[in-house]
Amino acid sequence: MPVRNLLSPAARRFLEGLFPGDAAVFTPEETFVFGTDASRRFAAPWAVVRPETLDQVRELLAFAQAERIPVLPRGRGTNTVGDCVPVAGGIVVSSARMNRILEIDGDDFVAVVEPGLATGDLQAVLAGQGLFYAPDPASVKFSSVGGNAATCAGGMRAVKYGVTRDHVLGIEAVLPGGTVIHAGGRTHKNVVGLDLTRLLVGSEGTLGLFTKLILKLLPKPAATATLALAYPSVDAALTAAGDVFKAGVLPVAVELLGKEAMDAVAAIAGVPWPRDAGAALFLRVDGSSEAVAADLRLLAAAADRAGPVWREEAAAPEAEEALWELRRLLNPASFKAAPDKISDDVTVPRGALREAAAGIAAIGDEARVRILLFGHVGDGNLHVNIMHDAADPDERGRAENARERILELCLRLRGTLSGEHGVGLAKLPFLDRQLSTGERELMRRVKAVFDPAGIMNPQKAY
Amino acid sequence: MSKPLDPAHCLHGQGRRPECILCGRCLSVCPLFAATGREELSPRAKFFLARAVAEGRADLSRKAAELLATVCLSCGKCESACPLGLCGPDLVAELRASHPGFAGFLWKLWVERAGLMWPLARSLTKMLPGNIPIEAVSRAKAAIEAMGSGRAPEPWLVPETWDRRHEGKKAVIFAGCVAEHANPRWKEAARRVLAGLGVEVLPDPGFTCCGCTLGHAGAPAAQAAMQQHNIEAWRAAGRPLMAVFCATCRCGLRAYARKDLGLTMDELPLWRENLVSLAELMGATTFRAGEAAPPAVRYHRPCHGAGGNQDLDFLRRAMGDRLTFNENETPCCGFGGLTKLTSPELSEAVASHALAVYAPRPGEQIVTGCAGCVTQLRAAAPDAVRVGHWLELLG
Ligand SMILES: Cc1cc2nc3c(=O)[nH]c(=O)nc-3n(C[C@H](O)[C@H](O)[C@H](O)COP(=O)(O)OP(=O)(O)OC[C@H]3O[C@@H](n4cnc5c(N)ncnc54)[C@H](O)[C@@H]3O)c2cc1C
Ligand code: SF4
Ligand code: SF4
Repeated sequence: MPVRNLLSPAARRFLEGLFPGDAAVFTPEETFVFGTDASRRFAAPWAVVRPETLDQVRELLAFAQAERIPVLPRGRGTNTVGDCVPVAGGIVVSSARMNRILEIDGDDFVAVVEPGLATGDLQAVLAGQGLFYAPDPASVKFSSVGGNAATCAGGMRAVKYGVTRDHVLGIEAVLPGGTVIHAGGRTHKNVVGLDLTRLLVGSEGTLGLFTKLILKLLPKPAATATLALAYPSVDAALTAAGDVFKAGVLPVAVELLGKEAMDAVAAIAGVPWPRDAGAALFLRVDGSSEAVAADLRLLAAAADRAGPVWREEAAAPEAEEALWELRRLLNPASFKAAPDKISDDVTVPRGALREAAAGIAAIGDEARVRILLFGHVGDGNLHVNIMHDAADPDERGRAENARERILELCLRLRGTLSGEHGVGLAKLPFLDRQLSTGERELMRRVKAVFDPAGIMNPQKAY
Repeated sequence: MSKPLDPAHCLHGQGRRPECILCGRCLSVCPLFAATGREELSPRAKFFLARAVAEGRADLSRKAAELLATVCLSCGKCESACPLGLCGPDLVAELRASHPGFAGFLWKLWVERAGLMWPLARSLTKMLPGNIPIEAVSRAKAAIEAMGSGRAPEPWLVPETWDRRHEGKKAVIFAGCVAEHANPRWKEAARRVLAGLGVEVLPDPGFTCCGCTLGHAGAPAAQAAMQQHNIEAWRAAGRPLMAVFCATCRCGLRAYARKDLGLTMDELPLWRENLVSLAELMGATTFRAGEAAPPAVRYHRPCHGAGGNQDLDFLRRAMGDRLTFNENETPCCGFGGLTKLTSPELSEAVASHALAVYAPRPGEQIVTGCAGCVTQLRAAAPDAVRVGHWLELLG
């Protein structure tokens, strides 16, 4: 792709005209942070713009295509795979000033929002109206709706409610060249034409820039309850998770913490489970308060079979919060557990979880690296954090080797390299192990239809 | 001049800072980002830039220095949100450590650009290094006086029975720089309140600013000088109760006990115990609502020193249902740090954002317990909405 390696003075003037005042920035000091994201990779952007209107985005994408300048949509930069890093240079388009809720319709059960809105802000407003937007990545309070859509973010509630893809009804997007498309709409079902909405969701900024999203809303469940258990081993906990699914109740969330993960949390907070437990399982149900109480009894009975060494139930919001807070502490805890970590979010078919977990533990032992294992096991999604000290070349080498073997293992179990974080730059080197040449070629051709000049978030994802 | 000390951001911890993991949690809470959508002002941006500067990958240009050291409201919200406890205002310390000339550079920047910070204008010109241009001082004076203008609410909260449990104790009033220079009436009100409580008010021992702002701004030597001055003044007054009615000052003063400022082992607990908020001293004093009482009052929680919530507890007791406070809506007013002087438009944008969050109806009032917040919100509020320090409501 013919990419210019710097912004020409004329291009800069154009951007200054289209984005007056502080809506465009060019100095290295100001644009610095726009060259990175939670992947902690970096490449310097040429410019950053902050559109407020559809027209600005349209003009920008017409200009960028004509000039062959890469365009990088950016929400809150919380993706962990380098999706926002301008490896080929270009203009970062921050959605921070397109963050309004345009409409909440409690009869149609839809919300129409701009992409820069923090998903948690939407949920807070909805909660006050008895409505509910289900996707809840752990980053829900500090990631954007647009970013969630472009990465098809998952979350703990995905077991019952599915991922972001299942809650985006329609998208207004601007394509390179400036064409505006409206994929989908505001009906909860729609089978007219190819499903462009689902193609755009999860496209990692490579097809077009979303300017508006129509989201599906649900009635807010009246009650929730949580059951937390500890087991002697990961295998026992995963057996219990399997038993739970056979109990005839679909939980909202089924989360696993392996021993090392539990220890990491215990290192920064008081924990209620016995210190010699080998794994913990967190289950949540929702519905009417009667249904929740009944479901919890069924779950508890099912989870008992694998022999828990500790259990706690919570139905009052504060008590539930206290339990889930332990799960949430895992993220900060994991950063304190070792100087560096390689994180993956491999996913396997639910039935292969025990085999995957055992295999991962064995790989960790052989490579002599500590592995923090936890995850949304209700979806077969395992977060694997390989803890190491990258300053020690031998240790780094062992960690990288373990990572490769874990990815191989999960693919062998008919799993996927990533369940929710996406490919970005981080998984790109491994992609051929999962996708065939023909499939990747097809994806590139689809991209070329949307983006003939290859300016949208180039060199990423597929 | 005393030895340089790292700034303590209020009560926040000191020591080596862990590395920012760029997770993005802090964007949502940073009032500068919320009000402007400018990610380059966010804590994450500051940490990322500061690290590059410290590691020599980016220049400590004038622009970088300004972004890092002056465009921050010192609200501390980032620290509460960050999984690693990183605190924007403490960043300056890191840079100072890696660039010895940094403090002098910043100092010059502020003197040129900002006039001078309010705390320094009156009392401290003698204590400061370098030459401070006279016009900077007069500009700062004008700024301070302008802060005191604007319309206060009519008093409507009338004390009925005073809580006399502190009767006979001796106290000095620590008014803080904004109240001292811009709102001298507040000190009068505080004096009346203490009299009502039966507390004997000792003569003014000549306190200066608590020094909080200077620490955040990377002038630790000047900060330490102010802190020591205040400690001396307290000693000279006989180590009495220090009654404070500004949350930010209280927060700044409490932090003295965590630094080596020459407080002896015996004095340390005394300093902590005797530093009391006026609201706390009010105890079980009862009030009735006078004629000028508004239909509803919004409590604005200052970013600083709200940890104890003394004001909120007191106001709830005093005002009952009239007072609204929503734990999820605690915007920053935009007064703190140096931003008000270096980038007034940013500071105003944050104040407008706060008012948009509160969305008060005409006739309603906003009440708070920090001098800076009052100044800031009063200037931004529409005519029909009065903003006041709770002291101003007392009839
Ligand atoms: C602590 C932490 C916890 C996390 N937990 C989860 C989790 O539980 N589940 C999960 O799935 N992810 C999780 N993530 C990853 C991340 O939060 C998600 O990928 C999130 O969806 C990214 O949103 P963002 O607004 O930060 O987007 P960004 O990171 O800014 O962008 C992500 C991608 O979206 C594209 N994009 C952004 N806006 C637009 C737009 N308007 N139009 C077109 N493309 C756009 C970008 O180009 C980029 O390719 C977590 C991250 C962190 C740091
Ligand atoms: S202290 Fe407040 S204004 Fe400063 S960076 Fe932190 S959150 Fe932003
Ligand atoms: S919350 Fe803390 S670690 Fe995360 S980006 Fe902000 S400063 Fe960095």
